Amino acid sequence: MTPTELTRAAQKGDAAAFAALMEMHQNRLYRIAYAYLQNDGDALEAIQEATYRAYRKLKKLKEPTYFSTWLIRILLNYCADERKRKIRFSPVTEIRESGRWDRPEDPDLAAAVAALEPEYKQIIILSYFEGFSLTEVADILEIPAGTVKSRLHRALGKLRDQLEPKGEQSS
Amino acid sequence: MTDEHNPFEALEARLQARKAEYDTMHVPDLAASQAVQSGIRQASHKRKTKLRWLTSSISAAALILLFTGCIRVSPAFASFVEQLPGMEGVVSLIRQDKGLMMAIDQSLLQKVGITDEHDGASVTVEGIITDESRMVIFYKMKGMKDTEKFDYDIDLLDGNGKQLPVAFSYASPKQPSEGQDYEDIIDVSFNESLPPNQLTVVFKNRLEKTNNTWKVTFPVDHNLTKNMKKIVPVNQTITLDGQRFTVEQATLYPTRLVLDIKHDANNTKKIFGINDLQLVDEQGRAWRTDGASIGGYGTSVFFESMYFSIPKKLTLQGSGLTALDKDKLMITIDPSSILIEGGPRDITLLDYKIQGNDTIMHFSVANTENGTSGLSFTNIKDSTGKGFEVKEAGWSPSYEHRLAEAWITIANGAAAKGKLNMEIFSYPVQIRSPFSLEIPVNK
Repeated sequence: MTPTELTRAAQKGDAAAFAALMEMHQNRLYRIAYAYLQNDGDALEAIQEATYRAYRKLKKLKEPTYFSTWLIRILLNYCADERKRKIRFSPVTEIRESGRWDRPEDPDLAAAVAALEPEYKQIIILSYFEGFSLTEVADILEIPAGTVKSRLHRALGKLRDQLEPKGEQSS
Repeated sequence: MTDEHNPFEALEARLQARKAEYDTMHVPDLAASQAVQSGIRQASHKRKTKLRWLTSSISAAALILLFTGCIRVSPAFASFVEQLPGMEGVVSLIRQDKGLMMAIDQSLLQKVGITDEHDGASVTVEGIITDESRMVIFYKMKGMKDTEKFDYDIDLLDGNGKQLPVAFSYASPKQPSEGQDYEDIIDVSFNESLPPNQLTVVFKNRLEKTNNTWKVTFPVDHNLTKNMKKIVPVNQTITLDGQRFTVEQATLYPTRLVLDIKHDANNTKKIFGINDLQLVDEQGRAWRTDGASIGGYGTSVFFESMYFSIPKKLTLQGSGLTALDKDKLMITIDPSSILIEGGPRDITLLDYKIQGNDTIMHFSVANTENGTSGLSFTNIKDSTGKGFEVKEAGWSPSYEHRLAEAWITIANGAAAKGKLNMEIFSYPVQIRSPFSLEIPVNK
């Protein structure tokens, strides 16, 4: 089944179809969540919570072809949620080997991205790391494409300021 | 000078280089699948699972749910199981548990099909799977009005109408879709006694003061799993962070494997749990643990059963301990000054308030790096010696330099007089010390 067919089946209550859909998306969700939250346990928690919210709200998704966009939005909303996250005492994580992401070649840039405010961090992850187009980012964040552009511009400006303090701009 | 056309050219090149690191990020597939499965399980069992202990001898007993090392049964096998007529829905409830799936495959499912019906609503016990250690009861509810509102309590009675000394868990019924029946399971642990020959399940409405109850009594066939219990002696002692515990034995039942672990009475710390426990076979398959019963100096950890698929080699793996100095376990809270006496120095009481009949305490906890469990309490007593129970425990882990926080709701806490004495029952500190140990199941 295609993702859209799976989404339709899941909306009709097919739990296996929903599980299959989530499986297709879980790597992407993990990477986005990890890039955002910078830690394995929190990233897994974010996947669990996004799965939970998506499953509960699935029937409200009007257009099945937008499942991916919608799911990423749910994940990002969770990640950006400033409210205190109350979780159960359940998640137990496996031992994680640190990869290249955790040992960046360019630690200054990595730190600058990690330190961005949520709305800017989101947009850098989506546009540069996930490689979504302007319109896709606009769909995910539910903002006009023009706003994506200006927000992206501001995010890059903030990164540059962070990396090259005023007066010491290199050529 | 910066480029006039694209002022961010250099920065974008650095972001592209970072993207390469992003693309090769290691994704822990197993853990990610587990997170997805947990999310689905959580959503489909909307309200929290209730755990009830009807046993008196295990004080401060608890079932800690540890969702680790899960593998799903292959789709082909699952669809085979689903072909069992009449049990399609409920089988999906146990899809997580390979051992139970195999037990069904071995024809250990006992069909019951007994219904209690009145006032237009019915409860049917469809079937059970049982051995000496565990019983899974599959039931169906039909025609219940306002499932959203009704909150059911379940009682389990023996042939004489006495409550069984067991621990069991079940999820509160959720609102089924229009015209659908509600199907679920009750998972019963027999720790102190064997399953009775006849069992009665009582469903009663908790909120309404009516005597509206549904009762289903059914016989239990013990012959299906008679003499199937296998004991594998292990008797190996492991020392982690100066604390000793002995893995005494593994008991294999068709429905689960029980690993008995005894903590050394001379340990300076109280061990709340052994972290990331899993059993891994020679093919690298993990056998999931779904809960641990803690009581006194020992723990029995339950794993998926491999009874019908004995591995050539089985290794117990763990990543360390969650433990706290024994002299730091008791804390006293003074509601008038919001101060804590005793306990670990890292706990601070931020707020203490009354909400309705309950009390809500808000704590912050420092130095909880890598802690996977939250903060919770047991043996709560006020100055007159009156006991109280934790109704709900919330936990927000620490991240980005923020302290971890905990919310403890104490049922009827408003009635407490004077200072409250509480014993720490779960504490978020992880002592990392990976270990492994062979369990000689095949000897």
